[in-house]
Amino acid sequence: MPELLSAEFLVSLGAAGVRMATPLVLAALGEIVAERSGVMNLGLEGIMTVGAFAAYVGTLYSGSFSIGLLLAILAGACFGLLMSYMSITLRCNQVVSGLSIWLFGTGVVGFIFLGTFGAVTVPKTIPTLSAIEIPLLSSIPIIGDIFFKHHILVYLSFVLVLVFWLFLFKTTYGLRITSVGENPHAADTLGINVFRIRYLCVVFGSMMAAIAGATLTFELGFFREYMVAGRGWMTIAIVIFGNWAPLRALGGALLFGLADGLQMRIGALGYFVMEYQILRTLPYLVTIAALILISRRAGGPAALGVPFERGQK
Amino acid sequence: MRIELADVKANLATYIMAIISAFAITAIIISMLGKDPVVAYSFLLHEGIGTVYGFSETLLKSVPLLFCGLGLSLAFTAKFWNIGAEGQLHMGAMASSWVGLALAGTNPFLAVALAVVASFVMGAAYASVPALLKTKLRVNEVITTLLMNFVAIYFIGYLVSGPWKDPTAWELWAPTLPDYLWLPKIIPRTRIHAGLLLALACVPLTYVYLEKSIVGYKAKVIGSNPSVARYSGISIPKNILFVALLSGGLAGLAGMSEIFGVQYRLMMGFSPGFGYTAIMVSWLGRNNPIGVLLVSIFFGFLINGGEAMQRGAGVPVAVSNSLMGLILIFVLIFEVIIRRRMKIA
Repeated sequence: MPELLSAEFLVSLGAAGVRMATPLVLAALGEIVAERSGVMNLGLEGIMTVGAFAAYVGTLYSGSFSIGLLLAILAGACFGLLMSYMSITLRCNQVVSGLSIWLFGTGVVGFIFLGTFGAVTVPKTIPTLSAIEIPLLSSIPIIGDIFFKHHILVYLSFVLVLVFWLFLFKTTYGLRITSVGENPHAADTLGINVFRIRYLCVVFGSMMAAIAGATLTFELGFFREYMVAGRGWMTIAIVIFGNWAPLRALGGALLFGLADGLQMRIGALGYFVMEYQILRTLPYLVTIAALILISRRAGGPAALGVPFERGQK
Repeated sequence: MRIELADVKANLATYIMAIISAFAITAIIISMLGKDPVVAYSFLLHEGIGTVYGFSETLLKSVPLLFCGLGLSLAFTAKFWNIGAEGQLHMGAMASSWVGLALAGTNPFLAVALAVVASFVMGAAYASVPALLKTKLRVNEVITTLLMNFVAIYFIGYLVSGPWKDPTAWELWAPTLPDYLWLPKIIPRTRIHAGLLLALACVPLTYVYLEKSIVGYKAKVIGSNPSVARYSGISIPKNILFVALLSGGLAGLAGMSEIFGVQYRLMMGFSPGFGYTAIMVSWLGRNNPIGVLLVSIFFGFLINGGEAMQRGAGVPVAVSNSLMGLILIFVLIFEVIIRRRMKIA
């Protein structure tokens, strides 16, 4: 397998890694915000599926990526509201609320998708987002090919990492969110509206998850029922791996994206037809390995997963 | 176990309202898809419970749900969030298929019995990994159990498309088990097999475990209040590992029962997500074995009825996943609202 070590293969692998990291980065940023406010949204996998499907339908019928993206964000917000209502207003167990959102989200999308388009082997395609080469930067050898020849959402995700870092650590809003997730009762005494902040964070996080799903659709140019393929769960692992901070989460997303890219690129070489199934386990195994690696110092917001009730300690 | 009348009333109201709401919303979606919900639901009822054969198919679908659901209720009782029944089921299926094929030609009873044991052990072993990671390294078990599902499914995909592939078949599956190893049919002219009896036998066993045994009591204490458990000297790691093993083992039995009772060969996609559905089964059954039994029959009805709706009314079979998810969401919501109204905590 001479290709495996060629510069060409490694560059294409790097580029694929960056591309596959994008949905993970977007979803992880949203989940970081939600979890820092104290709500663990385990429904991500379902919400990403909903977002991917909404983006597909919106783009297919309107011919415009923006409409597709908008529809995805809207659908994500709806599911975020449902999650918020269950976990914040009704104070349901967050694990079970999240699981119910996941199971319903993937279920209802499969139902509507198959009901609308039928069980076809070749789905109707939509155009994929075209790559934009960043002037100058894209002509840097190797680096340019890996980082600066992507579609707009890839660049957006990188910019957002910085924006979120600033927002969470350098603004009062970010500090308020953190205080709500660390000690909601103290925050409440200081006059911070815990319910409102948690609602906003969860709905926002769900919108980001839906955008992440939309990214997958725009990347592939079609929709498949199980195309999210565990990325929602990997996102939750990335948030832990990233210690609830955007920059480190980016590192985790790139690592998992690279594992994803590796199985895809090796698969594309066509050497291993039957071993390909084994290769597909790679991103999942890397995720588990990463969690084991950082397990000794995993922390997280103190009030994560604990419903807030005024006057109750 | 003391049962309060108000509790029963609240639960009954919750479940009835949740089921009605879920069916109403699903009817709206069905009409939006251009199909007739009345026709669809009549197919659901007729082929789900309206005929003997239909009901037998419902029971057939409920067997893996019952195995996995009982197992998960053990894990959930101790708040070990095992989302990996699907993977444990696959690993159990794999082990049983291997044993069955390896021992074909020897004593059939011995072969089947060893296949049962192998599936339990393999499912338990697979569940022990996330349990040990949780107790030794505090790795979140929701993520590890879930991601290991993908690993198991792709691993079986590899086996049946490579080393274990039946060379005589075009499809990607392992060789078919000889028919003298198939679980016997227990009702003529139906597909119901002895796996149902094994699953039913697990109901009282799980009940005794949870309600009458010391290990079960410890699991409950760990689940409801880990610090009390710690102070009273209950070993949390040991007990978590124990429920994880049982839970994975039961899911493994589901895999064996599907391979030896329904499919007769290991292949990809033999489970339409039984392990995932079982999460809802045990939660809606309130981790109570009798409750799990009732819900698994009801969900078996929805899965079987979903197929009937596809055949009869052109509604995609995925309708059942959507319905079940909605029922869970509505139960979670109505449970709180109704209890607040009735002023019971």
